[in-house]
Amino acid sequence: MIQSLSYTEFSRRIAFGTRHRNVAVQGTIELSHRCPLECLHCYNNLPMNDAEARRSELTTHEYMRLLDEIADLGCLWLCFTGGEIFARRDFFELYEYAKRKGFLVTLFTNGILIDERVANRLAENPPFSIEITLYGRTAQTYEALTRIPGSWEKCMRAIRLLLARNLPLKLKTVAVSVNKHEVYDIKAFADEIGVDLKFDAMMNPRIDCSSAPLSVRLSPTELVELDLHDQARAAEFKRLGSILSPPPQQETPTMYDCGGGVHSWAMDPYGNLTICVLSHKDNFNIREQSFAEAWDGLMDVRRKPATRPTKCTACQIKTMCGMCPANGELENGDPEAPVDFLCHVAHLRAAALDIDIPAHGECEYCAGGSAHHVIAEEAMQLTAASAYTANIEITNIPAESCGGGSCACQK
Amino acid sequence: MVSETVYRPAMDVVVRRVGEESVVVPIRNRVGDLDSIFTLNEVASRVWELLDGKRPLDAIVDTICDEFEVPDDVARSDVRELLDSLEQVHLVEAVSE
Repeated sequence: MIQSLSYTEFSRRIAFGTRHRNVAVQGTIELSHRCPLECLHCYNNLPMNDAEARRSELTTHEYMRLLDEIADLGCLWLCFTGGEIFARRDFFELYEYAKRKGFLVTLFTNGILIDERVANRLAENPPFSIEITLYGRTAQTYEALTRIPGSWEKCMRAIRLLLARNLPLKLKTVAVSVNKHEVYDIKAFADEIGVDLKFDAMMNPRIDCSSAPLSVRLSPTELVELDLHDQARAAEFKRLGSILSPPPQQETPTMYDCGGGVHSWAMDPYGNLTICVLSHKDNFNIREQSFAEAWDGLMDVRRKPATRPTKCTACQIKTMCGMCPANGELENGDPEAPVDFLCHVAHLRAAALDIDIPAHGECEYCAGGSAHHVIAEEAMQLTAASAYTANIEITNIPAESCGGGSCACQK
Repeated sequence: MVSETVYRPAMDVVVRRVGEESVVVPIRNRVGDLDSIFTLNEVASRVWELLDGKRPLDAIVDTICDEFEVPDDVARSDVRELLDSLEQVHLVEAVSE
């Protein structure tokens, strides 16, 4: 009548049990887009004093109604993200309510607003996981990206406070042109303090379509150079690359093939339910309908058929690529239009890791394509300069998230 | 355990329905701190709902017999076993009458 499972067994069982049932089991809520930092790469931040943004955000009561409803619908994993989550004055009211409802709550934060009082309150009621983004190992680099003097020290204070309270801390970072030289120093720091670190280099335009974040995006060569720098990371990409994505099974493939709208969802601070934090074209507002009705709408989006074949349709190295409809939407204004940057990166990764790419239509980066020589030259330079060997040992380490930075299931 | 003892769920856990599963989720503890996560089957979930700190064992057994169409001795034995297990892992508390 009662069964005891390890967390891993349990999460696998829930994933397996809900995969064909369209249970909205995993949600990401952007509590506010307001943030005390002004990061160059950010896709959604607004100033802390943006009164219009604050007025438009869901109220405490609306959030609580939402939490009641999604609990009844079977949501278990919940990620609170931003902007900055502590920008909301009622953060603890919402967080503690969510905890009382039995959600496994992950918190994504930059840590700037975590002082002793906040850390103590979190320690009284610990989250499932709390992830701080550390943008640089030094104040100079960190603040060149965040553009707020003194922010590095505040972030480091938060890390110290959470560690001292034995909270389930993880670190993450973005890899961009401003801090790429410190990414592995940040990794060394994470190792030193005994916490996990993941990093993401896949920057995308802002959700308001501004391409400002792309000004600090690494070039494909810089990005793959970072992959090769770390043997474990390179091995993981090699492992992923060896799992060729099967060609579409259906006669008419769907536009989406991720978990969005199947078991995961995202909501912006204004109540718009979307497939993920990056995809905003199709949205359903919970001020106008119940969550259940909005979720039904999202499932219709998820079932949308692709309108045309592209070079991505039959591509078999999707596991090495960040391409998805959300990225197409943000970068090209068309969810199905392949993003050149992502395609370049995926092919360069494969070439640098000595992975053969089966033909997948007219692809300029594949053998015979107009840009294949670029990939070949870049890969040669990278492998010559790195300590990487083609006989790299394949290990089983956790894969990256989708690149949106807000997936709640990473554990 | 004697039949006069009544039980209530521990203050720091909540049972959540996720798909076909009923999961006992700790509120105060970190999930990662726990050795294991507990799931309840349909009968156990119903028993959990009936644990209000007032209802005696006999009343719970009667409800289970009615709703699941099982003989009294089977239901009594199952419910007792369940409550023992739950008490052992501190998911329920005995309430003094």
